[in-house]
Amino acid sequence: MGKVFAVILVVIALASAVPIITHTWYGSRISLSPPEDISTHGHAIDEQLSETMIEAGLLFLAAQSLLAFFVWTFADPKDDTEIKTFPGGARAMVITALVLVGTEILALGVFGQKAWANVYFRPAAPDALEIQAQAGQFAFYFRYPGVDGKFGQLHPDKIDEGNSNFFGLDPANDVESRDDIVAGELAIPVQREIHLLMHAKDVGHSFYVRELRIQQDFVPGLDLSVHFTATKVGKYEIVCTQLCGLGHYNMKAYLNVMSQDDFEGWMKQKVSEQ
Amino acid sequence: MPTFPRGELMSEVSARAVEHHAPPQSFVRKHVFSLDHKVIGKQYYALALVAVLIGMALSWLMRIHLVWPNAPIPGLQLLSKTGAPGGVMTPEYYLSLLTMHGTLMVFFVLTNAPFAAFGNYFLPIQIGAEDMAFPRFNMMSFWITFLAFSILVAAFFVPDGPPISGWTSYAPLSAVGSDAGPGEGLGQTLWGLSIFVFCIASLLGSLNFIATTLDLRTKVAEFFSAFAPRTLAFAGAAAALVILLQAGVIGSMMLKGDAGYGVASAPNVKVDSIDLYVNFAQQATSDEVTKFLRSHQASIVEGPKGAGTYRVRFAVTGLPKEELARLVKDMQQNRNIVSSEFEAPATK
Repeated sequence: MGKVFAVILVVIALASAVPIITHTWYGSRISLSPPEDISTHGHAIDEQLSETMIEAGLLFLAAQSLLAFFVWTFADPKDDTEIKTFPGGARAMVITALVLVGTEILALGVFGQKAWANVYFRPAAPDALEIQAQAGQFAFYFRYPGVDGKFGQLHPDKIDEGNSNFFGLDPANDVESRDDIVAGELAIPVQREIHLLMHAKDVGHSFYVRELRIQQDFVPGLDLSVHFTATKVGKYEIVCTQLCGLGHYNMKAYLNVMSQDDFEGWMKQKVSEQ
Repeated sequence: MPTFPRGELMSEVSARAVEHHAPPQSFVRKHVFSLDHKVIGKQYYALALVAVLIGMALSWLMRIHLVWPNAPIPGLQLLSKTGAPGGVMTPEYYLSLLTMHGTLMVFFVLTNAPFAAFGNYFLPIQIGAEDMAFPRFNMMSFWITFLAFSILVAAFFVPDGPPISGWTSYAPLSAVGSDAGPGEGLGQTLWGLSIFVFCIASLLGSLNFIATTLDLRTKVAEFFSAFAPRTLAFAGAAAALVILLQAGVIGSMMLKGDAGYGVASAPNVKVDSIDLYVNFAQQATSDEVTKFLRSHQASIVEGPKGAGTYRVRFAVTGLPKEELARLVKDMQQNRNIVSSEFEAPATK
C-alpha cells in the first residue's frame, strides 16, 4: 500500500510540472502565458514571475520526489525493522530545513523587491501627465486638469450623476475646475509617463489592466496613485477586480493609448465639447 | 512534569508521559461531547466535510448560473423566494451564494480541516502526549465552531438572504447596512457574528495547541510553538469583526449619508459649520440679533458688506444639506430679525 502512495506522489509531481513548463516556456504558443506587455515596467514583473515559477517549481518537484523516495523505501516495514533517528537528531534537521527555506524565501523577496519597488516606491516623474481616476458603483471616471494644468476642488455634496457632475465640481465658484475635462475612458498618449491619482467615491474598487501589469485597489478615504508608461497604441480593458456590490460584474472602462497627435486631437475635441 | 533530553525518540517520551483518564462510558461522552482529542479531531473533519459539500453545491449553482443565466434551477426558489423567483437565480443572489461559498470554504474547510482536525488528531501523538492539555477547552472549541457554522447557515433563511460583500467583507460595502444591497442587513450581521464566534473558537483551539506543546513537549516542539500564527491571526480577526459588527448593527459608521454613501475622499469639505449671507431686519434690535445668534450657535465672521450683508457661520451637527434646509426654514419664521438669507460659497 505504501508503495502506491509513492507512485501517486510521483504522478502528482509530474502532472504539476506540466503547467510550470507551459507557463514559463511554451505559454505564448498555446495561449497560456499572460497577454502582451505594453508597459515599460512590465518585463521586470514577467521575468520575476518566471523566476519564481522556475525556482518554486523545481523545489516542489525535488521535495515531492524526495518524499516519494522515502515513502517507497520505508513502506511496508517488517515487524522487526529497527526504527532509527535522523542523523544528528531532530534539531539539526529542523534547523537545516529552516535555513534552506528561509534563504529561498528571502532570495525571492529580495529579487522580487526590484520589480515591485520600481513601480510602487519610485515616485512619478515631475513631468508625468497627471490624471485623476474616480471609482464609484459601478463606473470609472477620469479627470484631466485642462488648459490651466490645475485640478479644481472636489465637493462631494455637489456630485450629481444626472447632471454628469461625477466628481462634484463647482465651476460656478471655482475657476480652476471650469476647464477640467471629465471622460468615461482613460485616453493617454503613448510613451509618456502617466501619474494616475486614484480615489473611490463609495466602496473599495480596483484598477486592473492586464496589459499594463498593474492592479491597484481603490480604498475609500485614501488617495492612492500609480504611475506607468504605455508603449503600444491600442484599446485595452480596465476592469474592477474588487467585489464592490451588485453591479460589480459590469464595472469596466477602456484604456485608450494614442499617439501624441491623436491624444492632442482628442483633448481638443473634449475641450470643444465643454 | 518530567523533562526529557533533547533528541529523544517520540515513542519513548509517550511511554513515560502518561496521564491516564478513565475511558468514557455513555454514548454522549463517547461520540458527542467527547474529551478525546482523536474524537474531536474527527468531529472537526466531519464538520469540514459538511461545509465542503455545501460549498461545492453552491459552486455548482453558481456555475450553472454562469452558463445559463436565465435557466430555472428546480427547487432553488424553495431556498430563497426573492433570490430565485421561479428558480431563476438573480444576479444579487449569485453574489450571496458566492459570499457563502467563500466563507464556508475559507473558514470552515481550509481552517478547520488542516489545522483544527488534523492538528487535534496528530499533535498529541506527534509530541508524545496522552491528550491535549485542556480536553474540556478542546471540546468547547469544537462546539463553538459548530455554533459559528449554524449562525452562518442561518443567513440562508433570513428574509434578505446571505450577504453580498464577498468572504473578505470589506468595509464600507459590508458596514453600511441594507443600503448596500440585499443581504447586507441581517444577513451581514449574522455573517459577522458567525465569524466572530468562529474566531473565539479558533483562539481557544490554538491556545490549547500551544499549551499542549509547551506542557507536554519535547524541546524542539517547544521552540516552534512560539510561532503559532493561528493565535495571532484570529485574535486580530476577532477584533476587526467586532468593529465591523458594531458598524453594521449600531450604524455608527461615519460615512453613512442620506444619498446612499457619503464620501471620505475630499479633504476640503467642512461639515461642522455652514456659512450663510444674512441681512438682518431693520427693526431688529441688537439684543434680538445677539439672542438669535446665540440660540443658533452662530457667529458673524465677515461684514457688513455692501447692502448690510453679514457672513454668519452656523455650527451644525448633522448632514449639511438637512441642516441648511432647517436653518433656512428657521429664519423664514423669524422675519422680524432676519430679512433675507442665502447660501455663502464655501471658503477654502
